[in-house]
Amino acid sequence: MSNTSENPNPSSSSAKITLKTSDNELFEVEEAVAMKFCTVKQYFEDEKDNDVAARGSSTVIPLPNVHSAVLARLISYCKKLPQSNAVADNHEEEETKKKERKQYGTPGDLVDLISAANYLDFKEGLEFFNQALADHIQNKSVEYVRKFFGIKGDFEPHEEEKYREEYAWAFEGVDED
Amino acid sequence: MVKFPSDVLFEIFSRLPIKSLLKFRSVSQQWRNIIDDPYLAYMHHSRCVEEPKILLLDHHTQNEKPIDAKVTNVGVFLNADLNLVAKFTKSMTCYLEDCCNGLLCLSKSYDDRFLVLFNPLRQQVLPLPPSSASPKLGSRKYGFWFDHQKNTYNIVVVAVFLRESVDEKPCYKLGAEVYTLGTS
Repeated sequence: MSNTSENPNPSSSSAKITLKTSDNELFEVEEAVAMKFCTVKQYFEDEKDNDVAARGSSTVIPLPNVHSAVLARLISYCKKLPQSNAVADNHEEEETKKKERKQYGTPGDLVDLISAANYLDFKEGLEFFNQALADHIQNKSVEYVRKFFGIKGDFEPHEEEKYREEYAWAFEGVDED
Repeated sequence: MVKFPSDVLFEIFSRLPIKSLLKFRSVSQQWRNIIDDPYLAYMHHSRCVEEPKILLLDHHTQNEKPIDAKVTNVGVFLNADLNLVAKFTKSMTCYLEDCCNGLLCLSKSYDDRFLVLFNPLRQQVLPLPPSSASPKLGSRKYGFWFDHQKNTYNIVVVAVFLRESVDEKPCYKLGAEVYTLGTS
């Protein structure tokens, strides 16, 4: 699916689509890559139906919620899309995948990537980055997570304390922030 | 400040181990509501976040020969206090009827009206209403599943019960009843 070079239909593999980011950068990307973003695909198809003769493939698709730095990373991720996001068969394979996800960016980057992938409806990317963020927070403390997501705890202090006593084992073995 | 829509949070949570989910139930009310959604348990289970573990239950009823109950593929029990499960089954003299998304469905050996759902992680027990069918239930069989379209848990009981007929020949009748839990 991602193998555009062997696409039997040359007209679709060579077509380019221009995307315009929130900071007014223009990105010219291969159609096959752009079509991974369902939001773009939808826009593109609507445009095509409306006035294919008037503007054709020179259409610029605006992405007002995506910054150029984030889009660049999503496109590069798209181009070297991992074989699959399927669950690893064994422990070692899972560890390798974990490392791969860890190298992909800081937790802050992941938040931007997830927001953009969600907006663009980029399924494979969203799965990958969600998993990377899950890896990152799973052993963190409640305080870290609140700070990271900007959440204020809204339980009564005695209520929270009682919960922590009840499930003390779940609060053990927390990584440093 | 991170503003994720709740469906993105849901996706992330479905990739976290149970231990983390229990911990993060104390982050905020919103997080707790998402984590407690029965659909999350289903998603979580289907993603196989944790390696399946085999849990063996071995319990003894008083003055009776031991009864073994075997559960397989209960990955979500990974961090559970297994002593608790054992304690529960021992004290209640229960049969494990079925399990689904980490919940156990248990019946009591000599009481046809007794049926509970047990969540070993939360240490919660939910008694179910007794079957409206005849209390003379002979043999019973339970099935327990999650309907992910309706977001409900369902328990079906199929039972054979014995009725005395006029000429004193035994007469068997097969009946089934379905309990539905949760909101659709």
